[in-house]
Amino acid sequence: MDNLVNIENMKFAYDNNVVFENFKLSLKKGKWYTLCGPNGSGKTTLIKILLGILKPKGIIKFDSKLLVESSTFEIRKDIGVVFSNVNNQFVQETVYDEVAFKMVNMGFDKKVIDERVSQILKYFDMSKIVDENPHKINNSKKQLVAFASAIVSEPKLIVIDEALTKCDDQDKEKVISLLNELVKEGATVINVTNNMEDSIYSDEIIILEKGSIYLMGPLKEVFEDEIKLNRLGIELPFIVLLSHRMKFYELIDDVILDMKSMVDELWQ
Amino acid sequence: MAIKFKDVKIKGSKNKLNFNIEISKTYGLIGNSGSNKTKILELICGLEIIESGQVEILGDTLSGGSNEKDFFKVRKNIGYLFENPSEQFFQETVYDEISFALKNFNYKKDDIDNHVKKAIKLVGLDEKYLDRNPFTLSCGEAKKVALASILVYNPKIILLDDPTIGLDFKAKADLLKLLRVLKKRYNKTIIIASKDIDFIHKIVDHVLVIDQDKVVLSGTKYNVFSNQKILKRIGINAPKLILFSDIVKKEKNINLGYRDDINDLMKDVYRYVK
Repeated sequence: MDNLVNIENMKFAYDNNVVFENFKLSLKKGKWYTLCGPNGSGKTTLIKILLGILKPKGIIKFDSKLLVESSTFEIRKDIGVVFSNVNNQFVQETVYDEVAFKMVNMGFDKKVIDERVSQILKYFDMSKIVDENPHKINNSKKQLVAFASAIVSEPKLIVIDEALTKCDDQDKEKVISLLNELVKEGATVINVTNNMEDSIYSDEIIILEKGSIYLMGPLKEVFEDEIKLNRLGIELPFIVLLSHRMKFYELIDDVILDMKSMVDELWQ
Repeated sequence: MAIKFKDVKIKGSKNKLNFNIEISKTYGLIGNSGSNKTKILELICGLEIIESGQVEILGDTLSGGSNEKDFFKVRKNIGYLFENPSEQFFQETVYDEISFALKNFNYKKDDIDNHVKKAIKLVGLDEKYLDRNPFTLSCGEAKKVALASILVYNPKIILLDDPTIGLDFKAKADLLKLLRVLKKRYNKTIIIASKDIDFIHKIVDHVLVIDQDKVVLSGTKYNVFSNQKILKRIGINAPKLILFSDIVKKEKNINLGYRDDINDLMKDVYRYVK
């Protein structure tokens, strides 16, 4: 499968404080990644590097293009970002303008903008609040505006920084199913979070620790590595914790990731 | 009662709030965005205006006509942890931040030193942190310092607004441990407003569900989380432990009973399956 991001031999330090040394990472197209790790493990630094905000040494390729000063602007167009603190992010006076902002800047045709913005706002059930000030709607809806703004231009990479945890449950479900659709169509998602319950929606997990990849792989593979997970003290999703205990009691053989299958397996 | 809400209307809201908070109990305040969870906490410590009605806090009363003197009296009994702790920092060192309330309450210097050291120890930080600038701390450390600056004056009531946001797993586990100590050893009355339903489920005794400015469901956590009809109508998912027990009941017609600890649930499952 094609890679969207290839990082090789990357080195980055804040003054004398080395964050990454000889760092290597590949992210595939059409995959949803959960990026987690303790505070200070390098998650935010890695995201800032991908966004071109921080300049490391080494080779970083985005969709086969080398990420250098001159290509940063072009590459940024292909990345949608959703931060948890949306209040600093909004620059427009209405929900509609906020969601359309990036596409307008990218020079899309007005008709295409109108079509896509209306479509995504309808999907998020926000057609009635298009003229409202995004600063004045409730926090969960603010988060949806931020998601809509990031996704509407159909970026190749969608970065979510602790933003899902702020959505109401129903809004969150809508975001997740839309992201799943986009991933199926080839987009790559990185959800930066320490809420491991949300990792269940992803394809792969990347756990960073002190600037290195501590564990990385498909969900099941990572969750099978009980010893390494426990060593880092990660709060595991309920269903994974349950799997580990049931494995210990020899009631199941492998980690099971959904509740219905777990019940069926236990009481077969 | 620690707190009584009597026909309280928050500015701009449609409905009146009526509920009681018992002394030394831990409460979860849950509800969707816009349900005024934060405003309820702010109202208890006098940061939000009461349009009508009264709030009784440990015998003192706050109403629309309350003045600074009334607020000061009430605030001595209350510690409020903001969602974003840096919003409550304004001093240059952690020491000054933690000691600020004590200076306001006219404590002696030696007493202040003692209380500050005790408070920082209680939240699990080394005394070395006292010289740090609070704005350079990680999210987890900042929450601990903010908590220390509350615990230092030993308030009877502690209010926490979305305390788990931004915390990594270690910091979240530390917070849970500290809340258990405050609850069991120090008998604090605690109210936690949060979307993190699994976290709430681990620590609270009672739950208040707020929807459209009113309490739509309240009671022990067992009663509230078992009432999935109302939770579903509002759009709130029950804790994972409860969802799992529900699936077992639905699919296999086995009643695992109510558990708030995953280890107990697992023992039940083991017993039934074996």
